[in-house]
Amino acid sequence: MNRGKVLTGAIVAVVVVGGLYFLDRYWIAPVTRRTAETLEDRPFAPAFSLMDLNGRKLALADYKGKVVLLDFWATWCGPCRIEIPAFVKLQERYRDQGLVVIGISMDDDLEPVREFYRDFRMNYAVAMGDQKITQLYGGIFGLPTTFLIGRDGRIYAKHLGAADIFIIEEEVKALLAPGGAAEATGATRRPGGA
Amino acid sequence: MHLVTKKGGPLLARQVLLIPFMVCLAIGVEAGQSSGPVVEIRTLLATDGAYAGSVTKAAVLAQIAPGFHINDNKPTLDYLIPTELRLESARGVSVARTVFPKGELKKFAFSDMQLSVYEGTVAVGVLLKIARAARPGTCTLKGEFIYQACNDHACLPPTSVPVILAVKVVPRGTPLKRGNGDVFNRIKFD
Repeated sequence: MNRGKVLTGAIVAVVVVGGLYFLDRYWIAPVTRRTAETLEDRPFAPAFSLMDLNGRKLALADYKGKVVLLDFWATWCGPCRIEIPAFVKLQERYRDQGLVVIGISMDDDLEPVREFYRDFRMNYAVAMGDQKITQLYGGIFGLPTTFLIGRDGRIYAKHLGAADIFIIEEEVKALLAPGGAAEATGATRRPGGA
Repeated sequence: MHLVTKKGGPLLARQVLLIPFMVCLAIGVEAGQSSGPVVEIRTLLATDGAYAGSVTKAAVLAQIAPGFHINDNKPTLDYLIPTELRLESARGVSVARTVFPKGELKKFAFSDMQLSVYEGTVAVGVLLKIARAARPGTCTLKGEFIYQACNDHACLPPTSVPVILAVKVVPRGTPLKRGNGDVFNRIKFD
């Protein structure tokens, strides 16, 4: 009798543990990975200060009160090259409402980035990234990686890989809307260009 | 619940408790494997030895993780980072030529045109020149296999894997055994 109960208990435990693992991995995690659901999951975006393509300081703190789309990319990254024109349009469309797009290039050399900036007519600030900023943002393992930061300075979304631009635009609109995040005033900075 | 029963209790309890442990171990292994390296390298030689003053064939096999691709040695677009093999000459042996295969043309969501890429297993041929003055023994070349991998949605940074090629120089007249014909027959050394 006892033997049967022990065996049954063990089998149930195995089924539950295994089931929970695969449920999380293949159903829950892919959905919740993109957006944070609770306040505890919305950390403040780490502060950084880098040089833009013109050699001027670019600091996240300069955009306090703005909605920031922070995009880690590289000129050699095909999916990044597809996304960037869409980010250019987003910047143009929502600049007056308080959207700031910032590109962090993970290229080794400056010149290809400058060339890219010109060729793609980028209308937002781009800075050269380094290991420090990737570590600050939890490790950037693949490009593109895009963060959406609300007016309150918290990270509201993280997209790994090229994302559906419609989803990103909806997230931007939600954050720009009154009450989307705490409003604060801040200085407006012109985008750094090549 | 009392596991230690009169009839073989401790043994049964041990066996029963082992089952969830094995399941958790399997899950851990599976999770660990999913974050392994994108490219794994191994090296092969066409013969088990080489004579001084001769040319011998070697191959560097790159096994690319499923779902990923790396760019052709001669990439379709100039902004793509080519796959490269860099080997340093060593005492007694030098690289005469490196032969990359043609990539496979594939269409990706992020590109309007087909790109020449490598997927699966790639065999890079290396022609090695053994110096006339090379003495019997092992000559080792070191280098790296440089690549930049992407899947359909994201790209990993350029990286490299160390490569070590060890060639055994044998006295002239020593019988040489050929091997790995299935690999070397596919490489266009000429």
